[in-house]
Amino acid sequence: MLRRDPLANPERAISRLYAYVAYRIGDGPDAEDVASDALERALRYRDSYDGSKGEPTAWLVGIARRSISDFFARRVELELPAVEPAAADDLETDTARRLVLAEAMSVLSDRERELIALRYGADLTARRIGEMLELQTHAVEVALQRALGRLRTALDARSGDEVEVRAQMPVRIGPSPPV
Amino acid sequence: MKRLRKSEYRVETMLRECRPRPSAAFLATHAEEVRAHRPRRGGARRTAFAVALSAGMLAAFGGFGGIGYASSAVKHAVDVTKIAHLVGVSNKPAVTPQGGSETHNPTFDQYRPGKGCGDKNHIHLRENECKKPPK
Repeated sequence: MLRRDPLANPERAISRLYAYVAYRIGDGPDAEDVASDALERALRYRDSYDGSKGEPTAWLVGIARRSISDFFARRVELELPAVEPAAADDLETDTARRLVLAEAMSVLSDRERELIALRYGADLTARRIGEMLELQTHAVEVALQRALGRLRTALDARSGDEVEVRAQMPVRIGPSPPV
Repeated sequence: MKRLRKSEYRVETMLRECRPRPSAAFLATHAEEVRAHRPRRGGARRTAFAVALSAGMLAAFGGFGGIGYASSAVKHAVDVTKIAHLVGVSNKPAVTPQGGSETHNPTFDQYRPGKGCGDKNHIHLRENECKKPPK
């Protein structure tokens, strides 16, 4: 067994973990709670990490997936935190893009969200995702492209050449079994 | 209301750039917690290092004949001890009339009688190498 500290670089690990969780359940306090829970578990099982079985982020994401399952099991219906309204003048482009993205993400299925979260949140490669979900790398890439296509369509559908961003937009995600 | 142009939507770039980030407080608190629970695995690592170093040194000495040299040096030392024991060399220093130690006296060391072949006062360990006068 190759023993290595999976949390040797805590800032990086926590950032990736949080990004993954937030893409799955939405940015905000709930994501912080779930990420905290996952980290607590990770600290508990830190010594059992086997470096030969995968990279630290994949190990951490595996723990986070269980935390997310528990989170969905606890709540019948999750309402993503409403984004605080902001005046049109001080609404930065970055914030606007986040809002648009969050809204567009709501059209994706749970499986597509999972794939997007693993690829762009946890920053795992398609190969690693395939290992984690027991899928072929090619199948992961195809599914990711399909998810990106749907996301692109959703973003485009927001408007023609221009997109209006609403400050308040509660997004509802129904509970679904983990992928 | 904020208006964004369609050209801004490059989905992949957007997903990376808009990746949710934890708050600074959350990050700092948890990073500190993780560091506080850092496992200590120095013991096993130190033992492994000591074993590896010993094996390496043994291999190096073996490769360059160091082990044979060391064993012959030990053998030689044992032989010398045996001879000294047989001829009765004492480790006890002789005391000079002045009260000093005879064996730790530089004058004695330099001018003591008998250092070569044929000297009756000298215990010659390699007497067989001495040239013997023709009978």
